[in-house]
Amino acid sequence: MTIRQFIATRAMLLIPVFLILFTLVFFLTRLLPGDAAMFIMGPNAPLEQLERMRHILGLDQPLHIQYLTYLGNLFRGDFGSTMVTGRPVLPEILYRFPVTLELAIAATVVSVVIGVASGILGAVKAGRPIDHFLRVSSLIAYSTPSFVAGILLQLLFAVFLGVLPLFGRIDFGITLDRITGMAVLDSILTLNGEALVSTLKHIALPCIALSIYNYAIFHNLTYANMLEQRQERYIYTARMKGLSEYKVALKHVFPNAFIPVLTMMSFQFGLLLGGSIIVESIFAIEGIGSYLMYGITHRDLNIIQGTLVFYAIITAIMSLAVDVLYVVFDPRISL
Amino acid sequence: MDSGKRSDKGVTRIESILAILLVFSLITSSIAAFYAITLSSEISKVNESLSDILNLLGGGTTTYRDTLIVGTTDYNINVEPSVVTGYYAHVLCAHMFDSLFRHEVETTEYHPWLATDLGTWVNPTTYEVNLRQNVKFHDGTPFNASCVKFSIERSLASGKGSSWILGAVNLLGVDVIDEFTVRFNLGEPFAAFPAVLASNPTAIVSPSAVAVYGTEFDRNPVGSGMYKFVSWTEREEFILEANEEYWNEDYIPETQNLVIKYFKDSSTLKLAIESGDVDIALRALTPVQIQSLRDNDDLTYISGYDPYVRFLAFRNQTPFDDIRVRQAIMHAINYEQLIEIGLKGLGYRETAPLPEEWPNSVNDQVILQTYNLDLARELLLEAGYPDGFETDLWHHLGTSRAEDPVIAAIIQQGLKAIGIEVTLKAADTASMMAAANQGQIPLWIWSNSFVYFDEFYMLEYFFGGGLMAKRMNYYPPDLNEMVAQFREEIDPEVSAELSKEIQRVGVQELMFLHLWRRYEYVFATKNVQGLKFGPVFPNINLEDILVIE
Repeated sequence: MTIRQFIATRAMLLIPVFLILFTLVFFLTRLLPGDAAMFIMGPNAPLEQLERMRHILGLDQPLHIQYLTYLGNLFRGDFGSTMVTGRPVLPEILYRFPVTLELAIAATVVSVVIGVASGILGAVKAGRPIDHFLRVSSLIAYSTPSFVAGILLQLLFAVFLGVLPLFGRIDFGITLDRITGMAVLDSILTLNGEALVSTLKHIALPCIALSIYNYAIFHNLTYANMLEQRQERYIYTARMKGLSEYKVALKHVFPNAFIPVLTMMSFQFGLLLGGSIIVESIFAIEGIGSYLMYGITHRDLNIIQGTLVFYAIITAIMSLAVDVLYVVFDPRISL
Repeated sequence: MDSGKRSDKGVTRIESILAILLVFSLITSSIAAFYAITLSSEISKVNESLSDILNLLGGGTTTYRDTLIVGTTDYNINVEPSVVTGYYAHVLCAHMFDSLFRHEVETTEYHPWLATDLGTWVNPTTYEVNLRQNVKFHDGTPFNASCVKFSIERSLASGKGSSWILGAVNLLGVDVIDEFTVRFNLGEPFAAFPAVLASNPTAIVSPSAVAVYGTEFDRNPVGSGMYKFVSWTEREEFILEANEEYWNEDYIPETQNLVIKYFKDSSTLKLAIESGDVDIALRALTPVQIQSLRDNDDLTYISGYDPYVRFLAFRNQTPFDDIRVRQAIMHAINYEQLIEIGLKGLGYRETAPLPEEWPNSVNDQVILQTYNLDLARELLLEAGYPDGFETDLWHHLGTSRAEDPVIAAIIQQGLKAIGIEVTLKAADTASMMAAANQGQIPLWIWSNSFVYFDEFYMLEYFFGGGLMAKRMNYYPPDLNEMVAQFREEIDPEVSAELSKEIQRVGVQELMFLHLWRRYEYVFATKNVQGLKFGPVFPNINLEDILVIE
C-alpha cells in the first residue's frame, strides 16, 4: 500500500465516524433542559412570546426534521446561525479558533520541550538527586489543576509582582492587524515590535498554566521510555563503543523512546484545544472553548453543535496526521 | 569503571552545589519578592501622601485619564433597543441611546429627556408627547417624530428581548402629529405607559443607521446618547467614546473613552480591581469576594440597592396549597442566619414584593416573618403533616446568585427541624426556567428585576395572573381584579392605595415569601471619582466618572 492509498483509506474510514459523531452531538445537545428562546426574550417574557420565539428558531419542529435539516446543512458546510444573535456560527468559530490554537501550540511546545528534556535528564541521572528533584517536581505539576496554577500565577506575577498582565491578549491601546488571528504570529508578520512584546507578555501566564500538567505527562512518559530503552542490548553495544551517556541517550535511546511521546503529543494537543476552556476563562481569553461554554450556558444549540463538530473534524485530521507521521518516523510500521 | 566513579562523584558534587544554589535562590527570591511588594506598597503610599500634600498646598495639578475601564463578568449578548436584554445590555443601551423620559441614578422618578414634558393622556388609550428639537444622532441624522415612530414600532415588531413589554402593554402603534409631536395608541388603558417610555426598549435609534446596517445594527448601534459606539469584541471588550456634541451639555461624559472588559471568572475580576487593571468592578462578585474587597484599603466602594427582588415561591399544589404549610415554612426559616451567613451581612430582610425605595412599598408595614420553630411545628400539625413531608427546593447556581446555594441550605436546615425533608436542586438559568415553565418546581428561590420602572410591573408579575401565575398555578381572583384596576388607574392617589392594598393582601396570601435583598457593591480604585449607583437603569452614572492620572 502506498502512502497515498493509506491516507485515502483512513480518510474513508472517517466518514462513518463523522456520521456517528454528528448524530451523537445532535441528540446529546437536545437532552439539555431549556432553550435559547429564554435568553433571547429574557426570563420574564410571557410564555406565548417564548413559544413564538421557539417557532422562529425552529425549536418546535419534530426532532427528525431538525436532525435531517442539521445533517443536510452540515454536509453542505453550513454550521447554521447562532440562535441568540443570528450571526453565522462557522465564521465565529474560525475567528476564535486561532486564539485557542495559538495557546495550545505554545503550551504544547513549552511542555514538550521542557518535559522531554527533563525526562531525558532524569533518565540519564536516574537515582541521583536531580532525578529525585525532577520526579518530585513532575508529581507536583501532575497534581496541580490548571485553574489553580492559573490563579496562583496571576497572584504572583500580575498582582504582587506586577511584571506580567493579568488577563487578555494584548494591552489596551495597541492596535494589531489581524492576519492569522494568532496575536503573537500576527505581531511578527506585521513587524509590530510593541505588539509582539505585549502579546508575548499576555500569553506567558496562560501558556504556563496550561503547560504545567502536560509538562508532567511528557516528563514521565519520556523518563519511563528512556529507562526502558536503556535496558536494551543495543544500548550496551553503544556504551561499549565508548559513547558518552548523553550521546547514548540522545542518539540511540531517545529516537526509540520518542514514538509514544509523539502519540501522546497529538492526544494532549487535542485535549489542550478542547480543555483550554478553564484557562481561557481565568485569563479572559475569547477562544473556541469560551465560545462553546457560552453556547452551553445560553442553550444555543447551533453554537454547541458547530463547535463540537469543528472539534471532531480537527481531532480526526490530527489523528490522521499522526498515523502518517508514525509511518515516517518508524519504517517498521507497515502500511 | 574508575573514571565512571570519579565522574559520578564529580557530578554528584556539582549536583549538590546546584541543589544548594537552587534552594538558596528560591529562598532569596521569595524574600526579595516579599520586600519588593512591601517596598512598592510603601513607595506608593509615600507618593500618595506627597501628591496629597502638593494638592493641599496648591502646588500640584490634578490630571485625569482619558480612559475609564470597567470590569464585569456579566456580558451582554445584545445592545440595541429592539432586542435589549440582560443587565449590561441595558446599562450600555442607556448610555448610547436616549429615551423620551429618563430615570436619574438613585431615584425611581423619571423626567422628560427627548420629550419636552411628561406627556398627556388625550383619552384612556391615547398618550401624546412633545419632543425636543435640535437633537442629532451620532451619524448626524436629525431627531424628530418620525424617528420615534420608526424606533418604537420597530421594537414592537421585533418582540425580542425586553421589547416583549410593548406587546404586553398592548401598544398598537405611534402616530406622527407634527414634526415634534407623537401620539401613542394603546389597545386598552395602561396607566404605567409613561414609565415604559423611560425604558430601553423604547429608546430611539437612528433610522438612517438602521437602513445602512440592517440586521447588523446590533453590532453597529447608533443612537443620540452621551456615548458613541466604537467597537465590540464579544465577551472581550466593549468600547465607547464620549459624544462631545451631546445635546445636553451637562451630560457630556467627563472621561473620553469608556471600556467595558468582560471577565469569565469573578476571581479574575477581583484580582483585576486589586491590581488596578480595571478602574471599576461592577458585577458579579460573590459575597466572600465582596467582604475581602471591602477590607482592601487601596480600594473604595459604594453600595446600593441591587435591582433584583428575591423571594421563595410556592407552587399552588399539595402540600403548599394549604396556607398553614406555607406559614409553617415561613416560621421555620432562621432570618438572622440567612442575612449573616447566607449574605455575609451584605443585605437586609425584605418582606414585601415592592422594594423599600418605592414610595408605596409596605416593606416596613407587613412583617409576618418570624423565626419560631414551635409555632411552625404546630401549624404543620394543624395542616395534617405531623411527620412532615418531602419536597424539592430549586435554587440557582451561578456567580450572579452566589448566595443562593447557602441560603437554600439554611432553608433546608430550618425545614428539617420541623420534619420537612428538602432535597436541594441546583440548576442553571435555562434548566430552572424550563422546569418552572412546565410547572415542575414545587418550591424555588428566584428573583426578578424591573423591565420598566413602575410599581405596576412588579405587582402584575406576582399577582396579575400572568407568567408567574402560570409557573406557580396561582390565580387569586381578588388580587387579579385589583391588579386589573391598578393597570388602568391614572389617578396617583387612588393607584397608591391600590398598590399598598395589593401588597398587603399578597403578602398575607404568602404564595411568595419575600426574604432578602442584597446590596450591590461597586468597587473602584482610589483614583476614581464621581461614582453614583442606584436601583433603576441606568443604575450607574458612567458619564460622571473621572479617573485621576
